[in-house]
Parts: sequence; structure tokens; C-alpha cells
Amino acid sequence: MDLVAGTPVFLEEIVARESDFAGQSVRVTGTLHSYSPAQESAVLVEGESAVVVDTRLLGVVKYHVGQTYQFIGVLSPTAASSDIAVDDVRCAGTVRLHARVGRVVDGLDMVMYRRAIMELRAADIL
Amino acid sequence: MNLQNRPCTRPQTEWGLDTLFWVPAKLFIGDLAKLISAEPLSSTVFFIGNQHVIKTVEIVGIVVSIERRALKMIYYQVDDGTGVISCVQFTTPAEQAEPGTLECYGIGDSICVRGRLAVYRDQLEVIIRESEIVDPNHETLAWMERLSMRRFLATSPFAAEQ
Repeated sequence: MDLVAGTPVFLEEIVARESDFAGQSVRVTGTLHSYSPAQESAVLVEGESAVVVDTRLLGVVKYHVGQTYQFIGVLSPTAASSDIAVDDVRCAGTVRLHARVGRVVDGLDMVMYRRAIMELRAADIL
Repeated sequence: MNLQNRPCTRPQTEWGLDTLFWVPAKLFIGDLAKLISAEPLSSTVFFIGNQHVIKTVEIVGIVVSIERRALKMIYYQVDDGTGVISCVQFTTPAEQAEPGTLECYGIGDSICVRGRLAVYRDQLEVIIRESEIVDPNHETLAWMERLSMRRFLATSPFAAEQ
């Protein structure tokens, strides 16, 4: 099975154009807002956007609210759910990230990270 | 910016005059897929950009898959956002005799790999010479270094002297 690379994207892009990202392999970065062991899902927040991450494929990972996490996986369509509410942010309602890789990236310079991704996009690499 | 890889027109005896021939070239994994092989002259040398010649590379990315084949080799699939490539680590006889002493990376680890390019069963892969875990900011820095290298490869030729 050939693995597809996870293209780095921002959460606000996913929230703004959910249908465009359905089925795509992406890499997202954000702060952990909440984690539900019963549902095996985490909510990742970046700025005013949030995405639900399905973590059942990740195995044993220690989740600490407030830490910065990065997940690689596929954005799959999901039925809109009102169970997950995040205050003052827009949460992607029709897609959910089925993560296959997750890691803590505390200390990542998000300003430089964003600028680097914009530069790569400008050069047509991403 | 498209690299527009072109084969080197210089004779094989002059390939060593290209600096990139002797150092691990810092490249995106997505660019590795578009390399031009130097076969039939050499199966381990590749052409990139404006006639540059490389045989070793340095890639930085996240380990997304690990596969151990017997005790002799470990296959890491590394993803840097532009592509995924197999990196092969051959174990030493001492590590094969004592599997518990073998240090292996985990899924999600951000690693920097330096090694030579090889084609096995029509798939390009990197034979690991050295590797190390790096922090996430190193990956951001690596992207910018590779972006700069791309501009160099596309503009500066390694063409025959007129």
C-alpha cells in the first residue's frame, strides 16, 4: 500500500472549505482543546477554527489539554454532529480527521511554520 | 517553480566536479520522485535541476510507518509534506544477535536522514547512512533550506564549459 503524503493545511482553511478537503490526506497543527476517551476523539483548535480528530488508530497517546499537537490523516465526511461544542470558534461539522500519526509539537514556532508553508505554496511545492 | 530536471551532458569522468556529487543534497521528497536516473552509466547516480549530479540526499520528515524485515533491515516511511519515501536501515551483526540493543524510531518521530539513493523493485529508496531525531522547528528550517536549494538547482547549471 502506497502512503500518501499529508499536505500541511491550516484549520481555518478546512473550516472555510470543508467539502474541498473531503478525502484528502492532510497534516494539521493546533492546540488540544479537549479529548474524549469514550469517543476516542480530540478537538484541535487554532485561532478561531476547530476540527474534530478521530484518534482510534493512534494507540496509546497521552493527551494534555493546552499542548500543541500535529496529526496526519485523511479528512473523511461525517454526519454533522452537535455533540461537540467549542466556545467562540467555528468547528468543522461535515469532515473529521481520521488520524494515523499524532505527535506533540510543543515549542513549534507557529509564526515561522505558517510563513514557511505560505512560501512553499508560493513556489508550487505544496 | 518547476525544477525541469535535465540529464548532465558532461562525461562521467567529470561528474565529481559538481559539489553536490560529494555531499548529501537537501531535497524535498516530492522532488526525489522526479529524478532522472543516470542508467545505464550508473544505477546509483541521478540528475536533478540544471544538469546537477547527486548520489546522496538528506531528507527531513515524520516517520509514518515502520516495517521490520526479519532482523536484517528496518523500513521507515518518511513524510515531509511533499511526498513519502522508504528509508532502509540495515542492522549490524551485533544488533541482529542482540535485538534488544537495536534503537528504533517510533511513528511520529521527526527525523533527519542522510543516505544514498537506490532503486529496488522500481521504487526509489534511501539507504540510511546516518539519522537522528530532530525537533519540529528543525523541520520548518529544513523546508526553507530546501526551497533555497531548489532555486539554486533550477538556475545554476552544471553544464560543460564552452
